[in-house]
Amino acid sequence: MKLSSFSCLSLGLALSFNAAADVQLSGFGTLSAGLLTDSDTEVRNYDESDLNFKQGSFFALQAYADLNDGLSATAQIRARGVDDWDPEFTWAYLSYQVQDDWRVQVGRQRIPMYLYSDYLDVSYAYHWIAPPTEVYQSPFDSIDGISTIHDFYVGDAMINFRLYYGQENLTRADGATFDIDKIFSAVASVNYGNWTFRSTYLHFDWSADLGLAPLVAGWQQTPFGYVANDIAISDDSVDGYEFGVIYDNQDWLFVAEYIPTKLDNTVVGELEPWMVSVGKRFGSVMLHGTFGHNKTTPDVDLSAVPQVEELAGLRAATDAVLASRTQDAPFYTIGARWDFHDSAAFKAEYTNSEQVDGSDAGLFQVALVTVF
Amino acid sequence: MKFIKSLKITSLIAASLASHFAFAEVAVVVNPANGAALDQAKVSKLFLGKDKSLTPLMQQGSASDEFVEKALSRSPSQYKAYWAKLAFTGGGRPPESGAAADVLSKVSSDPGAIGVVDASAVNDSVKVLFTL
Repeated sequence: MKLSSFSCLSLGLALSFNAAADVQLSGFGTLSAGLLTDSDTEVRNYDESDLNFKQGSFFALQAYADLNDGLSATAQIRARGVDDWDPEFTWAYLSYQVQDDWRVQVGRQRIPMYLYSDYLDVSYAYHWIAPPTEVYQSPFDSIDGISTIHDFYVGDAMINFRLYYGQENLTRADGATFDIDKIFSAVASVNYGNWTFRSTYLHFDWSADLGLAPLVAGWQQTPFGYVANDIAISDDSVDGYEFGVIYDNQDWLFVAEYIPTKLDNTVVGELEPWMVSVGKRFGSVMLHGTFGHNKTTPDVDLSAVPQVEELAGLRAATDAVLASRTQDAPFYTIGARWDFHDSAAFKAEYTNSEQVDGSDAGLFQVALVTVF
Repeated sequence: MKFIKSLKITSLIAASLASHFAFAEVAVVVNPANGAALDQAKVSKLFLGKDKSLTPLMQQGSASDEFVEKALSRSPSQYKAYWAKLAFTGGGRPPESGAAADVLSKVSSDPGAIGVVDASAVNDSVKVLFTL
């Protein structure tokens, strides 16, 4: 990896009073194009019928400064095509190495809920163009907070144990807003030879505006106000788990991951996505296939609401929303990665993902991915 | 890039000229003051960032590629992908790389360093652990 070094002094940064600090710049990027096989479908956030260069494309720059005595600073800026390349700070944290095997990070940082969370955007580091969004469904991937990270050996097994606490606010491209508080997460992973086993516990309080306010207001004017409470996501508490395994002997790759999450008495309800992925390397080319399942069951109880004419409209609208959020859908991806250059790879994929109405939809994607 | 390519070509020519070597060998070297027993498994951990007790250094180009393939059973691009994971998550920095002379001078002046260089470049200022 070529890491360009710049002296802080020559860049005139705020840190320049520390003459010893070097800022190392590195970066990564994905330039992709995707085409749906049918218009009026949505796969992996692609929902336009034209060839789309923006949806999956981004570049990121990471600056790392060793401030000596165990202290370091990391900042990451990412610009995405889907945001019209407006750059944003995705990370900004200070890291302190308390002991050889223990560090503490304070600031804006990635929260590693999933197997591939740590390097979610670094496509060069894995086989897909991006991890399947059918499985990786969390609306957020970073938090403002604090973490503690332990690395140690038990025999030949390398253990990594991390705790996270923080919060996050965000507005998604579709206008939905999320206010996520009291995030607590514990992550344990064991690396033994070619095997990595990982498990996560995640808890947070969640308030979100998913654009369902009219429906909530409608139910509040009926004797069935609790339906309004169910549909709204207001200070509801989320419990999530993750179980993952990777086997990689540099020839064959095997990945499996299961991510059950519960948000009781809400329109989100219960999520139980899983996937299995297998890859085989042939020199500089890797072929891979992934199969998975996305099961989502909203938890809004309409059983006590009587079938009366006054409530029929409200009920129909609610049923439509619940139906649009209920999924029991398989997906598969087949693809190839070609390491044609020291710092870049070319990837091609076809994904087939079942839609809410049970029909199939396909997506072709190609991408150039790089680290520098 | 051109510079690295020309280096590779030069080392290829050098290797073919040295007819008594079927392949260019790489040497793993430490400071003469380092008396620790370091086997290949431990050295692998150091160059994969799984053990941080010594600072790893590599000679840029074919020597590091060969070490990565022989000692770490990875292709250079797999090794790069491996470090991309760690480097972009705060889990460590990849070994610094430079010219053979730079690696040797750093190892000879720092008891906490370990280096990988072309075996033909080794001199008395360092101790060879093993060659590959």
